[in-house]
Amino acid sequence: MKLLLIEDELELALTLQDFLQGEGYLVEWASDFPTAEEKASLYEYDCLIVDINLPGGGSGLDILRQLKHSRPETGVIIVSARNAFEDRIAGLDLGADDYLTKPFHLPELNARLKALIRRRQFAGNPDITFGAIRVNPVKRQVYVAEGSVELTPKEYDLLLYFLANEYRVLSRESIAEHLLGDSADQMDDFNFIYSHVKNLRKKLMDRGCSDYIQAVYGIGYKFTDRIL
Amino acid sequence: MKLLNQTQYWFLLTAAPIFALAGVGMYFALNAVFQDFAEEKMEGVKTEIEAFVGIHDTLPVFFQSTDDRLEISPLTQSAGSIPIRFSDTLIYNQIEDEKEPFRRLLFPVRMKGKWVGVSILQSSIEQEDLATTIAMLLTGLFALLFGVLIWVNRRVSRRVWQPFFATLDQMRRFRLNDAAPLRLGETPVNEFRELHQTLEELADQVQRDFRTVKQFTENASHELQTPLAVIQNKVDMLLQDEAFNERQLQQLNIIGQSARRMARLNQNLLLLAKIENDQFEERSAVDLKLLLEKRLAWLEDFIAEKQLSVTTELHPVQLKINPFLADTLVTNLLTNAVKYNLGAGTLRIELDSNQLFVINSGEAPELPVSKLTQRFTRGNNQSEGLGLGLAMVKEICEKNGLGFELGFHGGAWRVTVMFNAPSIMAQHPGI
Repeated sequence: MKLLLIEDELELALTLQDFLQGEGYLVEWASDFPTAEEKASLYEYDCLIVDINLPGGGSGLDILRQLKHSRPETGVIIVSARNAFEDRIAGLDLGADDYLTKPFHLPELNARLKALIRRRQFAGNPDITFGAIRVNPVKRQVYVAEGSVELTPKEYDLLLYFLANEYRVLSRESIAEHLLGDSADQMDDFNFIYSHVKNLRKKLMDRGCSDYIQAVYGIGYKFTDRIL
Repeated sequence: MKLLNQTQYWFLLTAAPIFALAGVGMYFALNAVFQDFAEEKMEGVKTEIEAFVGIHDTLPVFFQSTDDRLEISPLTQSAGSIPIRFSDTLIYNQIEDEKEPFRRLLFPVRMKGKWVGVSILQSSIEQEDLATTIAMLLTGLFALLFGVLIWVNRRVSRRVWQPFFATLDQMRRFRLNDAAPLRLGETPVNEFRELHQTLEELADQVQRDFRTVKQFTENASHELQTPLAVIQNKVDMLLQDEAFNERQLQQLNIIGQSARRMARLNQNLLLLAKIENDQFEERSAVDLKLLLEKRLAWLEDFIAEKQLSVTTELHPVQLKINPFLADTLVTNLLTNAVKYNLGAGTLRIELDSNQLFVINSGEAPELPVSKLTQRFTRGNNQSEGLGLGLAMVKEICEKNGLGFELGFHGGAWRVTVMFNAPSIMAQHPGI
């Protein structure tokens, strides 16, 4: 998987690059508009992560416009400051696949990226598996040992978020934002996550699945099959 | 008070006593002039009588009118001691049955070897009447002239001030957000040209500043978001580092939470600034009922967590408002009503074409209710809220001509948003 990261802030870009490489992606980085424009037109990427505000005479939206013209099959995730609604609407109108507002959680970017790549890979087996769990994201159906598990939409979203970020500590804030969207930060108390986690765990274990959801005290949860 | 009324008021206030004084003065002046005439005439008669008596040694037979008469009275004193003098007297008029004023000239005449006093009497009633009539006529004429002057002044003013009101109207419609600069048009009147010039310069300056502030707002948002995003992402990375122990991980998480809190604060302050700067001008019809239902569904986890009992009575309402602001308004109201509710409390939402009620159980405020819409004011100190929610709600209401009321009665908070608040913009009545 080859990604182009278009981000003008050095520290942010380095962190993202570090993280994405850790996820096994091949990441190239462009820090200004001309470089980004050049790379996007010369090389082929599976996905672009584009910051809208760029130095060098153009915006991320311009790159998106050109890309959708020349290589419409490339996935695009727009990244921009919050409250820039016009940008969001313009980005999605121009054919961006997804939109993230800064600051975002890295696991969230990871989940979005995986979902996007999954949607764009028509061929092959789209199923996600982890241990005894198999998820068909097209049908939104979950199986444990070939028996189907009925989950509520939030439990399903939660499971997919865990599966996209296996072996990673996920904070309650990040889970809440994944389930509820940006507006989640309007609330302070995310105890409700506990009941969703409890229900999900119970439904999976009822089907004979081992308990993969590990509580990380004071922080959140970790989806893992490794015993500490 | 209108400018014109004010000038006319002072005009009238000074003119009225002057008219009154002029009228009275005129009366006395005319009276004096007429008296002079009468006395001159009487002196002439006196000379004639003296001449007649000198020749005929008897008084002439005068006509006997009611106005002018001649009286002869024997003198008791010696001739030398009576002075020739004028005096005023009242004489009874049989026809009119009243006493009338006369002017009398008394002088001695030697007739048939004796001195007798002769007095000539001249009625002065006509003279006084005449003076009064003329004085009143002239005063009336002045008043009429003055009235006409005021009327003409009003007509002319209306025409002369027309450009002023046109300018005022343009100023009222002027929005800082407009891309076009304020141009008030040409006028031949110097004062208005100067006014236009000054206003246009001022508007240009303000528009420039506004754009700068707007730009700053956006830049500040971008610039602040980035370091916060870096902190956030670094924390995300470090949380995965297995070299940290549990305590260290928790502290890292708190750094991440604080960064997010700061990011939220920044976003909300910028949002408030944007609302204040009227940067959400685009409006469309928003289905408030749908919005409330959507947000309520969104809050279901929090409602379930607190075991709130929710009742709604929602009628379809379309409101012309910026969709994002409508969402912010509804989100703030409902999240507040859930966040600051009691465990197993109540939440009631009523919506009709006149108003929206959000009523929720809650703790009594520690601060006066009126203070809660101020920024950074929280109902109680344990709350983790930013204290911006209600300030934002109030600001949105004010910017959209909606009424807003907040109250705490009988253990429940009640927020009312009124849709038919009287428009703030008053029509100018013209001149």
